[in-house]
Amino acid sequence: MFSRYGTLKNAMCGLGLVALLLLPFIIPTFWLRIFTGVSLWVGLALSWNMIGGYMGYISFGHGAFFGVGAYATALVMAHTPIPFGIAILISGTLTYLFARMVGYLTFRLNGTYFAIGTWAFAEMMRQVVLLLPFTGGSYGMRLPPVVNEGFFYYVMLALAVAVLIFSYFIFEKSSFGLKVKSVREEETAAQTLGIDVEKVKNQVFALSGLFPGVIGGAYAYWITYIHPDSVLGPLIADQMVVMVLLGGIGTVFGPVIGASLMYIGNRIIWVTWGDSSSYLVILGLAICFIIRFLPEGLIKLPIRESLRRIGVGARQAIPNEEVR
Amino acid sequence: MKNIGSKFLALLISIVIAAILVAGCGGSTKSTAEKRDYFKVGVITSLSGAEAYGGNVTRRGYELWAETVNKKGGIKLGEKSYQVKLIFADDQSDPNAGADAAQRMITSEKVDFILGPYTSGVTMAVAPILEKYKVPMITGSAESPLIWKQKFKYTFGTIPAVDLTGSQPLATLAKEVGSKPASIAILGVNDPFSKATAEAFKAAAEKEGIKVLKYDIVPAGTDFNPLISAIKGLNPDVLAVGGHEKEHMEIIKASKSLGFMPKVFLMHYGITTPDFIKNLGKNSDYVMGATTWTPDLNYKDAVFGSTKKYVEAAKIRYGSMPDYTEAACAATGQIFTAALAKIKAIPPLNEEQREKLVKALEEVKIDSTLYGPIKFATDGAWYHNNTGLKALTIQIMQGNQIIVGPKQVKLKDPVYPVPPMSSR
Repeated sequence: MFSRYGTLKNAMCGLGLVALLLLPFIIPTFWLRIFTGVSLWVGLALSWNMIGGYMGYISFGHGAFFGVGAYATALVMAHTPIPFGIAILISGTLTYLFARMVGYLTFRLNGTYFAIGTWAFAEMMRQVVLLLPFTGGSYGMRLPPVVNEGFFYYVMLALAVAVLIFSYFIFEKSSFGLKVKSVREEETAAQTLGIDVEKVKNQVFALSGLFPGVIGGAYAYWITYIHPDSVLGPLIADQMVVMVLLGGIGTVFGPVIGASLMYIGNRIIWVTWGDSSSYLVILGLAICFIIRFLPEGLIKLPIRESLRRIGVGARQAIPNEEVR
Repeated sequence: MKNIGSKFLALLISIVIAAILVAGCGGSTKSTAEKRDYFKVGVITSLSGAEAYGGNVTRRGYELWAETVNKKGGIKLGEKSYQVKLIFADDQSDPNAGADAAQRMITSEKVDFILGPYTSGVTMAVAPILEKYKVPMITGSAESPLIWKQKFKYTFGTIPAVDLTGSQPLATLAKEVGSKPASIAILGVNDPFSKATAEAFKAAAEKEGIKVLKYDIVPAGTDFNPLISAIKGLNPDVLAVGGHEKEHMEIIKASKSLGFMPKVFLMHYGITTPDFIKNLGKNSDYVMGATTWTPDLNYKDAVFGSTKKYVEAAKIRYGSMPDYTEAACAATGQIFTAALAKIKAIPPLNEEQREKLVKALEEVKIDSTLYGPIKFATDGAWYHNNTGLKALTIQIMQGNQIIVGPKQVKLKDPVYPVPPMSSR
């Protein structure tokens, strides 16, 4: 199992992680902000991938969990002495419960109707927050300003890595993951195998709502000002969907790649052609091309074959190893 | 699982490479920024997203100032003049992208000062970053009273907050017409600006002793017909609306079709936009509103010569009549110029000089710019907002916006009560 390649790979992974941890000391704070944003979206894309990828239910309502988390953290921190770390956990718990409730109602719907139902739920939340007296309504809410780029980078990185590890072990390595995939492939067949389909669907939906709540809380503290349009707008859920599709739906690393590339790509093009908005056209075209020619996402790019051709990682291609 | 491992590996490697590349780029800008003989000015505004229209209005204002100043040789400090170079960043109408833009302007581009965002939301996200790095910003647009209540030390604004301007038309109605209105109904759309406008109307009505019969904050996209028929039953003398041109047009149309005609309509913001007047035609006449600026004003100006000359220059450059936001943005540059002249700081500015610049901005008092007088408040609820400027009451007459109050500056008397729409 621990072949020479495996050791090398572990070493490289370790090195990569160390590099990510050292990033605040190497790069300017502007780029650190960008990497904070990358971690944020990696976390969100991975969360959406749980329901959209593994479960096969396209939700357009995940922005609501992000926004509810942001507002929960803002409210907790504004009205109680509870520190940030605990406030975001409270937000996560809240959105988990909220997702259970939403799931209970929307899983009576299927396919497109489910997508519309979740979207309507998100829009409802936006309107509710606009009307409630204690959320600041259309004035938004302000949190105590803490501008510490390093701190927020580590918070977002930790959250993204947590969601990544969680996704990997729950959906790729456990029997629960197999159940989820069987429901995705054919619900009726899964039912005949004794799987409680409703229960599995609700659990996955609630789990996929938990993390955006925590991340939303961290976002609120990071940006220091939240508004229904900035944290509960439809664009947040839309971006999660596009990022996952771009990287590769239903895989562990697809959303990571999709979110990283889309966010960094957006910002790099933005820095280069930022004095006009034509860069958005370039970005849009790039996404169209990728979806047209790589419908399974960037993760299906034949990187391994290319690497092997130039003699890197040749050992890993031995079929026996692949099967273990 | 080998498959996933190798992809993770590839991803990590690419992130590290990207980080190193990025670090390299950051390093190179650092070294070039040390010495320059021009002012580097960051512009953060909404060039895309939901607020792109307004963002471009601000952009035109800032850009025209820079072009005009540069044509005249630059900002003159002592013997020498310094050119101005604007660096634009699109905040995508999103506070997060706005904060990224601020960080980029400050840490990568090393700008001397910043000309600020179109929306109040982005301003709120950008301000804490300016506090940390001690970089001053003037926004020529954001009007929400909320910003000034936060007491950001490095953020200033040229347009008086709407709670300062919104009260003006009601003061005109209460004091400068024959028979003062007795009652009012107030509607506000649920966005920060419109809600604050409605609140300002309400406070002013209560102050002037006009009875508020109805006060409602409604979500954007509401059907106004039921609201108007309810208000018709109350029969108020004035219907005041906080919203944008789209809502105002809908309300006028709904009122006409339901046969509701108060003695005057009072609406803010957007009745000065060409759309409003073109779309409603004669029905737009006699609608009253508040503003801080109209193209008819004639102030002297150090950069453009006068308001009139500025308006002409803007019309030639962009092919459209500037509105008050565009004018307020065009005036921001010379406020910085005045403050810079005070402290005699040449580019690039260091932290100590920027600190002094903020002090100087607080002391600046300009009696006349193309936009009007400028004086920032240094304490209270309008901290760092331009309170030097008095609001105007305007009324549409034959498709033109005419200043009808306050008394000292009015061009015509306000018409009240106005003729009904059916008899025009």
